[in-house]
Amino acid sequence: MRQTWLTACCWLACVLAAPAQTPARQPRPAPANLPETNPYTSPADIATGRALYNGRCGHCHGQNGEGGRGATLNTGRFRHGGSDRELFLTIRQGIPGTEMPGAFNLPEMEIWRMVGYVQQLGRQGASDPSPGDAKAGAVVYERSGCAQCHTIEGRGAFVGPDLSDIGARRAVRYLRESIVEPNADVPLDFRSITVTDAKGTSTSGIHLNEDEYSVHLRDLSGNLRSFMKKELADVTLPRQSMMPAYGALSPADLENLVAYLGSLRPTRSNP
Amino acid sequence: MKNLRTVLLAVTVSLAAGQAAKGQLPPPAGLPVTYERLLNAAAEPGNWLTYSGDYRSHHYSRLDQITVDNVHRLRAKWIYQMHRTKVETTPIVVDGVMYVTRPPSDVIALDAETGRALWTFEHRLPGRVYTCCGEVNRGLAILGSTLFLTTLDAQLIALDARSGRVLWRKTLADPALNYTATGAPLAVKDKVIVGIAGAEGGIRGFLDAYDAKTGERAWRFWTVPAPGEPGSETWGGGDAWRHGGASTWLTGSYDPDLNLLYWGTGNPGPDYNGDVRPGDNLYSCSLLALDLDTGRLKWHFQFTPHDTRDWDATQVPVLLDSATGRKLVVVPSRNGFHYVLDRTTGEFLLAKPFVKQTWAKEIDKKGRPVMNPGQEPTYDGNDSIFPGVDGGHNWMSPSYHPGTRLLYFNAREERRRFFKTDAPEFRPGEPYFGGGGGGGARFRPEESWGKLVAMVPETGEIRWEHRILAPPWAGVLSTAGNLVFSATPAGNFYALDARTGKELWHFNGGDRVFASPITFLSRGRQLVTIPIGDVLIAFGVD
Repeated sequence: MRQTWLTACCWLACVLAAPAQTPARQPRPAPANLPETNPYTSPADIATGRALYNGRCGHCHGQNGEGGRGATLNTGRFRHGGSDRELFLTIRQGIPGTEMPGAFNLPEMEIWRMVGYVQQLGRQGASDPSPGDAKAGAVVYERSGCAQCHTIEGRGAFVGPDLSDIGARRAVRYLRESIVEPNADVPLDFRSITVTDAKGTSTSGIHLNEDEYSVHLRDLSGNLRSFMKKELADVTLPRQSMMPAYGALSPADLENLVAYLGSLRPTRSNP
Repeated sequence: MKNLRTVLLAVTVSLAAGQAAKGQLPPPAGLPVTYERLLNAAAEPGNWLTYSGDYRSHHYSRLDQITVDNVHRLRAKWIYQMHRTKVETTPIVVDGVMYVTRPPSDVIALDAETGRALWTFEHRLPGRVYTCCGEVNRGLAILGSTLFLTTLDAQLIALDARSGRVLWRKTLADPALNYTATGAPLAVKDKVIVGIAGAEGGIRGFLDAYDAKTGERAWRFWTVPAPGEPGSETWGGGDAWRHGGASTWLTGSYDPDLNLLYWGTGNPGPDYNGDVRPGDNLYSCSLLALDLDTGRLKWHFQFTPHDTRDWDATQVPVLLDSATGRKLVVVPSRNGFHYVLDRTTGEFLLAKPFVKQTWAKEIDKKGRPVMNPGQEPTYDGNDSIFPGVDGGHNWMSPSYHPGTRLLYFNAREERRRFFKTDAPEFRPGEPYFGGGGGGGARFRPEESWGKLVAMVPETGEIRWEHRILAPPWAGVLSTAGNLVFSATPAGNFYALDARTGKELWHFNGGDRVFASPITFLSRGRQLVTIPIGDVLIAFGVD
């Protein structure tokens, strides 16, 4: 029986992950004698870093570090560490379990130059507050049934991304867009998939893994499912998000919800 | 007399090959591996004697114990743990001993029956070495009882195959100036032919020949001519030639009748900003035909003049003869076109795209591309160029099957973003890119995929394709058992019917594959090996 998405609710296109069919590269150890401070910080180095950033990073993090599909980089707060050395390692090795790839093939000097430019972006010290009321937004979150798909601090469902620290990871602008227009950017780790067997029975869920012979998903009930492609009549990966658009929210409710999500930051239990 | 000896040897080995076809091959011959044996390497299917299996680079085996009928019984026999990343090596096998390299520049002799190490040679690198694309090594050459290894710090090392002890070392070029070496040498007659890498670091490329016994350099062909030399007029008259790239980092082929080496060259430098090097930039992105004895250029063919997309033309050139007996060399090129040339004269005969390509309006009658506008890297980034930076084809070995007369190779359908930065200054230890060609995170996975292509090499007609999920880095092996072996980035090692493309078997190795399968005999039984992730796995039929 074909599953439907009527129960799918607040689906924020937030968490990013590498395509499952490509095994993650093994993290490489930090280079020996990696300096604590960036040795490449001349204006020419920063200019090169900017060009490299624009070509490689800007699409996800925004051309000015304002964030988007990737984290904001213009606030001066870096979730995985803001020292030169920490930024170097984050850029070089990527962030496991996310869509942030490592710059494995870039020479160290080029990575340092990007570190210099990212530090410059961070010095903008931009803040990105929502005009809404976070406390009222929490009520909107509950009332709209967002927890039927999302999790905050362990409460909720597992269909959509965990939002426990979403305010630290995504810009307010991106959160607003994801609520009103979820299809604007569907993260690879939360793409929907529908498989149909030879008898016409369809199963839908979140695409977890796939190779030439098999495909794996988590269905709406949270079950981990595995299918052999030769036993399937059809495999569909729609480009649409499973999350319905919440354009019908009143402007006040929308801003309050955005403010609430923007206020969610890492806690001790969720570092 | 020499010819008569060669013919007798060929007949003898052919008889042995005939017995192999019945599964009755005598034990493979051991050391020393003479030049005469290398000339007839294809007739010794129990061994794997050169990087590409033979001088024609067919990457094909006459072994037929494993067939379309029993390949479903193929099972893993042993695993050798490399504990290294990005294993790109193709082993040499002689009489049940496998000689294999692992990153960065080590050699291990393995018992091919059990996968147990017999000796290990570890090369210590002198501190930091500039490499563009990982600490990789693609394999060895053998002549007599000597193995030849190139190292990341641009050395050529001769090792005794029985002990792993060093016989001599030669420095190819100064690694402090970004020269490095990653490819398998080719041993021909009394010489060892060695390529160089580092075009992403601003080297001036060359191809070298060394005396196999003494290590003395016999000749060097500079792939970027100095001012006043033929081709120097294609570099704009400045100093760009000094760092012009045109590396030679894969292994070429050899025609003994013409006494010609065929070797591909890499991109010009800087990779993505061609402003400092106006002109065609010879002999970058070219196929060279060089006299083996002298290193003199007989002819050249440039696939991509004035490249700005890092489309090296180092791909393995495959030598074959047409139905009418014409001597051909075919190259599925990184730029997305399959080329057919007359290997005697270098005459261009045909070019046909095998992946989506947008950069060339056409290839004209002389083989020169007619460019489409808007197909250069830009400061803001250009994601309208196909194929991607890694090309339609790359270092992964193709395979030519003399029975089906088809060429099999892996192709990459890929979308990437090309961007340009200001032209860099050359500095030791620093890259010399002038831009980049990555940015895959911006595209959906469906925009990039792969396929194993079965092509009529003389015409470029694609007979069948085997689609895989993501663009592959694995090479292809075809065998007289009418099988084609290859692997996917998802880690699946698989076998197809060489005639139809029907899939017959697969094994999930669980990690990406950057290397090519080979096959050989161990204790009279056919094994197939391939590196998957950081392990080398041997398969056989019970």
